[in-house]
Amino acid sequence: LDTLDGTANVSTPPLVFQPGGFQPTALSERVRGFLSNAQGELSAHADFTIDGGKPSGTGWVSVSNFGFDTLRLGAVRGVNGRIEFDNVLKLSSPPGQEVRIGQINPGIPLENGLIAFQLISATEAILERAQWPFAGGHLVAGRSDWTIAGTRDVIRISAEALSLTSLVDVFNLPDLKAEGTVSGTFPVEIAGPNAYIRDAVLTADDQGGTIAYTGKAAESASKADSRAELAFNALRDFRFSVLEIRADGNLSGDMLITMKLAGYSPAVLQGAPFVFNIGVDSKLMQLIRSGQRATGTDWLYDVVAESVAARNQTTPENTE
Amino acid sequence: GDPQIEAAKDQGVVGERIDGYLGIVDGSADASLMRLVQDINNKRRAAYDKLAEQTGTTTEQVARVTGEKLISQAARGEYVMDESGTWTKK
Amino acid sequence: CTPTVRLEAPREPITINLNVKIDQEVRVKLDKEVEDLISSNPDLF
Repeated sequence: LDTLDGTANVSTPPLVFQPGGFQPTALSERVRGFLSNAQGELSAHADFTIDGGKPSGTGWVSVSNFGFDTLRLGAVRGVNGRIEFDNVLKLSSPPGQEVRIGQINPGIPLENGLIAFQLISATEAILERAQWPFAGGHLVAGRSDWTIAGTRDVIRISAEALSLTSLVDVFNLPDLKAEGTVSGTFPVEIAGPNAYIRDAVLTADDQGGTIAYTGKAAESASKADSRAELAFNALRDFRFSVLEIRADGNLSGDMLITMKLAGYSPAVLQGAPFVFNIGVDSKLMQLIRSGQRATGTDWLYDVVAESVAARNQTTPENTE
Repeated sequence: GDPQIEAAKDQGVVGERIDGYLGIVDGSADASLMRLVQDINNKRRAAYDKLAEQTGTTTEQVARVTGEKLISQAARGEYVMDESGTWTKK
Repeated sequence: CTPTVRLEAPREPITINLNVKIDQEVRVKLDKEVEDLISSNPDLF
């Protein structure tokens, strides 16, 4: 009996995991750190052949309402789908594997994601495409490499036709109504536990849109500068042709958002043109969470408004 | 804490970082210890996310305050990582 | 003679720089909550 050739196949019954209860590590310590705090249902099947003493195997894993916790992207919940392995020993898969992710929260809650990928090995994958509905439009991640237990990856996200009205809701921006859509592509650097947005630029589509700000930031600003008061009056019913939103910072930490807004208000100075350079320094995550908290949050406004006197601008009061 | 982690801390293989997570001090540890560190860090992040949500703060803030406390509680002779990312022996 | 400038609405836009810092009214002191977090999760800390 020189070689033990033959085939074997292994199937699991549907396994149901609970945090604090039955966990994948009960099956094998080799998965520790990979599916931490696992929950939901998983079943797997593998077909092994031993040919000339050389083992190989194919198989699949299917999950339903599956979830786990990760250092890099936070909680992953509601995962459904089936992954085919063309080499179970190497844990590699053919291209085009697809799973749906109910919720993932790297700083901004993303729901109903569809992820297409290929597993290269236990530690490397190719993200083929990932798409989430978001703020009335879509966030789409293009093709990029992903290191499974890695410490740093960069993926490019395209924001497609995000509606300003929905963005105001997602970030619970108080006293603000807005209409119009913005789009743009930007890199997101996933480094350790942080997801950094690197100088994202979202620009309004060419129809432009409207903004109506009726908050109390106006009062504190207007005292400072009569032109600022003028500007805030304009912002109460503003029609913009140019809107550029820049975001830079840590999704789960501090974010700096700057906006360039150009347009006019029919009610102010017969529709004279205004340009706003608005800088918003905020903890994005706090904004999002403020909506979910029962207690109303009294926002601390620290507003600095100053008008930029253009070189040869004649202000309406004085004429030569 | 976890006995394997405590032993690894005593041997200077693992240490607490200012960002609230465990780190492998000189980058060379056996695979099972690295998996354990990864497991604990995944669970720490989940705990930070939850507390940040309850207190209306950010995950980064909670993780940072925890890191500072854990470093202050670390025993003499253990390694800790400061702001600059370098490991120093307490 | 000096040219008189008739003024319609100024074509040069009025430019406003605005810096808003949105912060929580209540600065939550995390110390106590973090101490509880550490003591109630001995397997993690």
